[in-house]
Amino acid sequence: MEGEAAGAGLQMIGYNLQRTMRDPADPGVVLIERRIEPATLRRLVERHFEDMVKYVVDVERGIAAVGGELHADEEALLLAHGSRQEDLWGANYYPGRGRADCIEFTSLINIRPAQGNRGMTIEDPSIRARIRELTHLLIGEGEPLP
Amino acid sequence: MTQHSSLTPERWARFNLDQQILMIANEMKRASALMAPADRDSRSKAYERVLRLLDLTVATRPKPTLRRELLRWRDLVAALFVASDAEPRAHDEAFRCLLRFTPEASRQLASIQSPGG
Repeated sequence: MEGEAAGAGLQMIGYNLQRTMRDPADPGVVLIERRIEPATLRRLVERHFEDMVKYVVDVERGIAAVGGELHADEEALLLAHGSRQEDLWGANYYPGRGRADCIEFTSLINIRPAQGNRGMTIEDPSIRARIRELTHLLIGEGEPLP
Repeated sequence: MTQHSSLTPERWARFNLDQQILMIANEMKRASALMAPADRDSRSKAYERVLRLLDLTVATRPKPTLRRELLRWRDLVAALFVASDAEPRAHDEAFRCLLRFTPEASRQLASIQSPGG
């Protein structure tokens, strides 16, 4: 059971056991490198915001952390697992909105003038494309939750 | 005298995070109605209240990631505070971002009207 694993170090959960880990300090954040189990996504969406889930993508490693109340929670998890700050970008995923509208490229962690991004919204089209690709691969394409 | 100067960290800490965020949001909402050039002083005072309450939240919330995110958000408001002119779009983005700090606060998003919307 997912709830029994908290506090025992990085634990495996449900589907994709070898590929989905969670942060013992916040069992609501999961680190994914393969498509998330729909039931897990549903749990993460319903846990906090009900209409969406916050996530952070490592555009170099092709992984994501999903489900924190703050993008900074997911950012911290990825940094703790070897990601570099400059590779991390935050966004929100809205299930049920369809492929074109399921991603909101907005997060406070995206404010990085040194990398040319002066606001919360990701401006670089190539980075947006990479995030879109990884979102569709790892989280979903805007399908309704099961 | 600084606005909210009588509000101590101890008293502020009695509110939960949802309540703190919503009270900061209330000040942001006041500022939303003060975007005309003639409102500059009032708008400045509203942002000053936002910064004061936000600083109290940072001071009373030990979670590192929350503090980190709050301080990032503080930079946005500080920029609005020092700007010579009103910046309705940046204000609206910051306001919406604040309401996404907690699920309870995010329920208020539906009541926020987009600029020009």
